Amino acid sequence: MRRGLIVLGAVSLLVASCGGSDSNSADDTTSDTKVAQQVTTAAPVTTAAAAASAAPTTVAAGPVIDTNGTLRFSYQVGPTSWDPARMSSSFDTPTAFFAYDRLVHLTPGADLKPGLAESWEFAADGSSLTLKLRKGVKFHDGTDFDAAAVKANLERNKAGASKGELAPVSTIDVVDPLTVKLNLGSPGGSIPGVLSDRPGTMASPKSFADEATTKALDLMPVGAGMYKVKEYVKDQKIVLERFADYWDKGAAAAANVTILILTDNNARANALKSGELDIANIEASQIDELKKTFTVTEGLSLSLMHMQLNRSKPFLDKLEVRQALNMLVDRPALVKLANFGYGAPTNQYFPKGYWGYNPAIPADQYPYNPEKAKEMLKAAGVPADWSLDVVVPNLTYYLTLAQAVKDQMAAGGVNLVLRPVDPVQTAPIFYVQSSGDALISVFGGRADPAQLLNSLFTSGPIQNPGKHTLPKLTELITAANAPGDAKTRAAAVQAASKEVTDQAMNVVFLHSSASFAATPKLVGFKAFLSGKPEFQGVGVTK
Amino acid sequence: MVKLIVRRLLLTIPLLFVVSLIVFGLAKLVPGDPAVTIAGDSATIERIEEIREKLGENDPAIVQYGHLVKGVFTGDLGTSLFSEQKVTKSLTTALPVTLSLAGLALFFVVLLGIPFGLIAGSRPGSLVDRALTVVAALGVAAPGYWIGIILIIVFGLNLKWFPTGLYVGITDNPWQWFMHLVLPAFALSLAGVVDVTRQLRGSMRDTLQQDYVRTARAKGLSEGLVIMKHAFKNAAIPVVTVIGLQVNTLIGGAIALEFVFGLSGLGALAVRAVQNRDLPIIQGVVLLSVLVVTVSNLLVDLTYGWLNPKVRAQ
Repeated sequence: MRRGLIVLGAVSLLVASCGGSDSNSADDTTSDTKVAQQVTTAAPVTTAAAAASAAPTTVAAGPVIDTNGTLRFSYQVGPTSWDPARMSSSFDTPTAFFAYDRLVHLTPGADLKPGLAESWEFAADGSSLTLKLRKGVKFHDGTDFDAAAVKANLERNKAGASKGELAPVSTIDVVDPLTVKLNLGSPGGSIPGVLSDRPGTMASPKSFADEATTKALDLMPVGAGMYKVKEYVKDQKIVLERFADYWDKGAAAAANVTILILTDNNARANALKSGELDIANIEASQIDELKKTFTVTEGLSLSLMHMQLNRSKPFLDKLEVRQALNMLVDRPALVKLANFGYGAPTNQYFPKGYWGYNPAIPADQYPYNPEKAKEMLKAAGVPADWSLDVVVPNLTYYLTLAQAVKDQMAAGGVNLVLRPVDPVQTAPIFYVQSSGDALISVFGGRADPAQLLNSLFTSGPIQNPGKHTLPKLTELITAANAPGDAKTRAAAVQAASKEVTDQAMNVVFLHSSASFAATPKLVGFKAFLSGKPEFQGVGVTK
Repeated sequence: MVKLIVRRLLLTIPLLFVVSLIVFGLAKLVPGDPAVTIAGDSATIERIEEIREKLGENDPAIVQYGHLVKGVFTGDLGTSLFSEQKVTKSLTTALPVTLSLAGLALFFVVLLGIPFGLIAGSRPGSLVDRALTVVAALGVAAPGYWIGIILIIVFGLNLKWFPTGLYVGITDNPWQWFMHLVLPAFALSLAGVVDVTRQLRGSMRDTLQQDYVRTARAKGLSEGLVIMKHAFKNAAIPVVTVIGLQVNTLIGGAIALEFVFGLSGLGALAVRAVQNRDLPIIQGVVLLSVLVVTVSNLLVDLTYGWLNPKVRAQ
């Protein structure tokens, strides 16, 4: 029991520590055949002209939303902090973005659209990114939102928890009250995407003006979001009311929102069943049951399960060995076995429907073929009794998946010695100490695909423990980081992604999905490819 | 009496000191680095090191412990490593939930355990006694969290008589407070009900065979008066010990049930803190638990005195 309980809470810690992002990335998964809500895709918006299509949220025709109603939502974790410079987990945003607004917004298909920045444009030489800001925006404390506020926030976030994401930004200039220029010290093509996440979150400058207010900000947000926090009990409850001055008048469709932080999956489902909630995130194992009574919204997310290899360890630096490992995995069987049939088998890092997805990578590039894999390993000089020390977070889902992978790989003569570790210890052991040959775990999505490529396949970040890189791939990743129009960037990211698969850098198993169950009273909710729910235009009927 | 109370409370101080030393030692022995967790998704080695330095993780262990103890003596248990939340604030937010749950469970223990024990003890071997023995065996065998899940399914989801959990403050809505806690408190109380029933049954059986009970009956007193006035008061002394010990068990057992029922009490706080290696919070929870248990034991001792003048005289 206690183990089960700890699982849920620990998932957040694991993801926070090993670089994951999605709430249910491990447990909420969807198969190609079971995707209930298809997401559409387009390339990211990177120019002023393209971004000009900003439109306020409109509520679709259909059931009438009670504009005086209260939306009751439950999520498994609350924000790690309300101070944007201290928010350290990607789990933060589903709850934090009720109260905070960010510079760039996302469409359900994970494309960029204007937020507090109405448009953005890179300099022709890519040395800077200029943002044009929305006029007339106010923070909850009445302070005006302007270029100075953006500069102050970005500088703080860069010095704090968003140090890695904002690394390309060297300095920030206020051009005029509604124009801010980010000078880039290194290729910053990912920056608009990054600004759609925690790094682009804007707090009132007054809220971090001195030490006392900064401390207070940790426990009470002063944002410019569509709702304003009325009451916050850490790790328990967030009570919000509509922010009347929010720039997008249709966004806060409900007058009030109550968010209950419930770590236990069953506790959330029970609260939903007993009528205490309108919507809650659920895990894959609950989908079939809850579907009978509730509206289940689920769709693929950027989050994925993989076996990350420390390619500095013996034999793992050899291409044919890594390819053989990829051929020792029956991906559709894993989806069925570990994910209750929900989720999509994959051999590339970006899911179908996302602009980073490369259709040129054959789904059967590494078909399950233990015999052939065995021959390849033998040819590469791998001994017959080869064992791999595999770190696995000690959580039921990961252990189930890892055991299934172990069984499959045994057919090819590879012995995986699974080493369950405390989830909180995963990052220190595999990333910091560089202990273990491989890690079977989740990798959460990133706001921009280049961030994932940087994290895993360049030598700087701790997420690449062996610091192993390949010259061609490094070049392609550099190109993927370069600013450019949507088409150019998509092509560059896809090319790098193809190289990752061709070089069998890791063994990718499946893409997960985010799943939510709601009562029929809920209106306007959509699946987001980011895996993080957004609530613009979401409300309840009377 | 006052002397007894003061002496017992003073004895708590060295106890808390020893406990804090053990907690600190254990927390340091268990591997884990809060700095890595705080650094989050985009952790870099430099950022982790910065945080470690800020948290004082690089200080010698004795210095870190010194900070902790100093805080306790100045009435400041410190701040969570992960937020600006004061430990005392976390504790005072979580404590009412756990105390409500454990308190209501204790109420059920007394409400059900004493009548069951009296009935079974005053009619040993009867059908009622045997039936209660069987139920008691089941109560001991079934873990509270399992009972909790069954109660949720039957009374929460199917019959819809009670909410399936969550917490409503007693000052917000006393009725809803009670309704939301009925199922978890009942599940938590079962093992205690069984303990009290068995203890009182045995104690009553012995007491009813005493000479003074025979004398009371010979005087022609009604059976009810014999049991309630003469036998029960004496038979209750060992039961008080059991009930006192229940406080410790109930606070411990509340941890699992808090998760099942989505209650954010001390248990949930402690589990989160342990997962994060949030030492100030762990320390706060343990010290508070020690205090609650010490006070409950003291109350038990005082009750002895009330029930048995011989104890008071000592």
